[in-house]
Amino acid sequence: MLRRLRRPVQALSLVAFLTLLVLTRYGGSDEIAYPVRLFLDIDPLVMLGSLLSARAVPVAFLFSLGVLAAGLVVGRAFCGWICPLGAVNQLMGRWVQRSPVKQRAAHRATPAQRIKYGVLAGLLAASAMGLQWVGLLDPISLSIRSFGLALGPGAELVIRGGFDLLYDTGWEPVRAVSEPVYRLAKRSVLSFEQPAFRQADLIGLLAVAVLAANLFRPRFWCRVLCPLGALLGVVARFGSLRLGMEGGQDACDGCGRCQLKCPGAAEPREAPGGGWKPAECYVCGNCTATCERQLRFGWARPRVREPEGEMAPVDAGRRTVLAGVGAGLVTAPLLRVPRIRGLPEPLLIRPPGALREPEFLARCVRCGECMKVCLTGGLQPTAFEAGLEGLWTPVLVPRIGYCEFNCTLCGQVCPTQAIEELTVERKQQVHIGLAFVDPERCLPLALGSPCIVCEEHCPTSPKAIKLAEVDAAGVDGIVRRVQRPVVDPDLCVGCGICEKVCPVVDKAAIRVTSIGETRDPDNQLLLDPGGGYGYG
Amino acid sequence: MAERFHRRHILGLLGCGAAAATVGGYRLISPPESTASQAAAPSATGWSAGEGASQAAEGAAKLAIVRNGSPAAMVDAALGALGGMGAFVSSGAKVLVKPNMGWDRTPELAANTNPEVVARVVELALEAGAKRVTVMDYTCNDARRCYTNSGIQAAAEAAGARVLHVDSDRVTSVNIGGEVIKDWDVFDEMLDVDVRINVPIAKHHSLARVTLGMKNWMGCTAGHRPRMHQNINTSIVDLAAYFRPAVTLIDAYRILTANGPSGGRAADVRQANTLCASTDPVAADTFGASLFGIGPDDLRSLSLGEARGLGTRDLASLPTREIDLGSGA
Repeated sequence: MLRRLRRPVQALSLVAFLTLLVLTRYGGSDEIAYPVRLFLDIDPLVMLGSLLSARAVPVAFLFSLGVLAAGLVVGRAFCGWICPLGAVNQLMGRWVQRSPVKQRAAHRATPAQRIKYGVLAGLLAASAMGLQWVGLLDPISLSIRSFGLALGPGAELVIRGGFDLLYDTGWEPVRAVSEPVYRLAKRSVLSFEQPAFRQADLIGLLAVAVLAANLFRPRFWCRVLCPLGALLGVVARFGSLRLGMEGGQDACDGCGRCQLKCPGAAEPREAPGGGWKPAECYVCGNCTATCERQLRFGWARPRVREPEGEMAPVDAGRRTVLAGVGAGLVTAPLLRVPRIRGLPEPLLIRPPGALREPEFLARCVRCGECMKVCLTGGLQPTAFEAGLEGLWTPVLVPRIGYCEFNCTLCGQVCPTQAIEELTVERKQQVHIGLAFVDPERCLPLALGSPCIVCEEHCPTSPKAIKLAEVDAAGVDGIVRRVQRPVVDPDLCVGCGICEKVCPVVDKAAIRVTSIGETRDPDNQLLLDPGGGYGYG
Repeated sequence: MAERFHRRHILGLLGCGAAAATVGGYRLISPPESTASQAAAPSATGWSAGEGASQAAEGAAKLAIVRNGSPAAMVDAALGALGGMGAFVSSGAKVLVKPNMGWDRTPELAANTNPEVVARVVELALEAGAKRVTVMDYTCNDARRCYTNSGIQAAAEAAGARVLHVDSDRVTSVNIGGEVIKDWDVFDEMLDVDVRINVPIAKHHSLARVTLGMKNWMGCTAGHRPRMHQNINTSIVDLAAYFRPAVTLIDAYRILTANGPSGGRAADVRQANTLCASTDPVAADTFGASLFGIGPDDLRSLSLGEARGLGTRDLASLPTREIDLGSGA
């Protein structure tokens, strides 16, 4: 009964998650019309981590309190019914066939399941020290990042490649079918253009490892590693949900089938040696559906026995938790050391509306929503530009894609307001960097040749890139009058379209660095901002 | 293109293998065989020289200048003076209407062709019996934003056009046969047409001085087109010699006089309330340039275009109709 309800809910939740991820894109209007960050808004781990590291969370996270409260009533039902990563893991686990002996082993609780409490404790301890690494392992953030930036683009590569092959046959009857389908796909499930993300290899491999772990143990991630599962497990321990046999232990014939169906190794069986663990139970209903007797969920009814067994009710393991806390407390300051002086990073161009670097890092959960939604694909996950501390946070790489002047989407989808939501008018005032001309590479200066492509594309009015008439020698030695681009630092917002379109296609002759970024009063150039560049 | 090759490579790994890759070598659209630049024009000109065109030759103007009407009314009047859309579009023709919609700007900012002009041209082409009318451009800003905020997508679709986005994986390397542009990737949807109608807007441009009709064909070229700026005027003429339109309509309802071609502020926009149409691309641009006070000898693409045999800068030599809808109404 429970299972019959759970399966469609779980499937629907996964479909909703993927649909919202696909819809995290420009849809013909300046505003995103769908609640694309819904799953993050209801994520209590992201909420808690942000609260500890930034000491502030957006109002939308009130929803996540509801999930925590629900945990008191229905335990880790979130894991079994809502979590998209849980659903994918569950599907993966179903495909694996094992011999009966191995199957029994795979569904027995192990001390390794304690590790997740260490992970949770470590992440929260680090958060309390200001290191916001929660999003690296939070299952929602991990899913959005993995599917949005790595697995999705990988799938698109194959799908689009298939359509390309059909198109390139040049055979009209084939194209007559494939091209309309391709166009429909591009309007619906595919991205507008093939997405490309640096770090997608590492992000994707981590995701593949998480999924492949199901081959070793069903829902290995959920059982052993998931910090959100651990958090909900702690709540479940104090909750009132119980599992037990009507009629007590005597009514159980000890067949053990329930255990073989339990994805969480929550030891649902009533017989001696068993001992239902609420913190490991996803309330999936497999056990009650399998039991030929009267195994039932209930709420702290007298006949249902208290959780007990060879492990503690929440088998957190004091040592694991302490180890986690210790790791978090050591790691947080350690990762700060390389950037302790807080010097501006020239290539760390943050999206418009991003908070000042320390506050930004305290909030960003690296979910990748901003990168997924970025119109031009210019927002990329960092490798080491922001240190290990800032791994996979967004950086604008203008050569890949510039910041579209009229666009405010990244701020709209950011779940933690690490990127503030800006109006278009305000956004057009925010500087994210400043372009500099490289005279050694700029065609008019280096080769005496006409160009002005950067000036042509500059979106501000008046243009931040001016043209100065200067003399320059060509390769033939003849001096010609050329139009040399000069950037007005007061007008340049650092959008990077100049760098993107510069015809010097390897290393552009005009490049944006972070100086002048509105968010950092220390990373400035001008004596009198707003007063223009003075020549006293 | 490197990207496509990469995809095929991935598929190859998945087992589609060498056979599929071999098949992938074929293409539907073969580049138009041509040796000289003037002969390079694809079938577009073939249609314009059809029966309708010969009708137009008798008595119809070659250049029409219309002032002081609504954008759509000026299109009607201008094409009427040239002998009607039927002179250019035969029944069953596949038509490309090529506006300039490269920028994420609203119509009031005059960075893109007026949407009413585009829509009216689409309607007239369909009325003339076109099998299909395609509207597309390779934009500078994000294509979706340009198509939406220019107002062209909505207007052209309402008028019955297929409004398509360019696809960098649906291109063919064609022999442009120009002086500086030899082989270049062109979007297949812009090649697979019988008639091209050029519908640019008149705008300021810091290198070319103004961007009009002949330069508008840059929107059909894929790849690293900014490279063309190294020799912009010859590039413009090379492209114009290849993409010969049946007719050019220069939208000067609003013109952008500074900060072009992207614009962005109303102060640089002048309400010129003008539209010119011509079967002669050089003449159309010559008139367009005059709106900016640029004479026929002051714009290099005009003299180069004339020397290439694409048309004439001498507007007086052309049968011309000037129509003022404001005083006539």
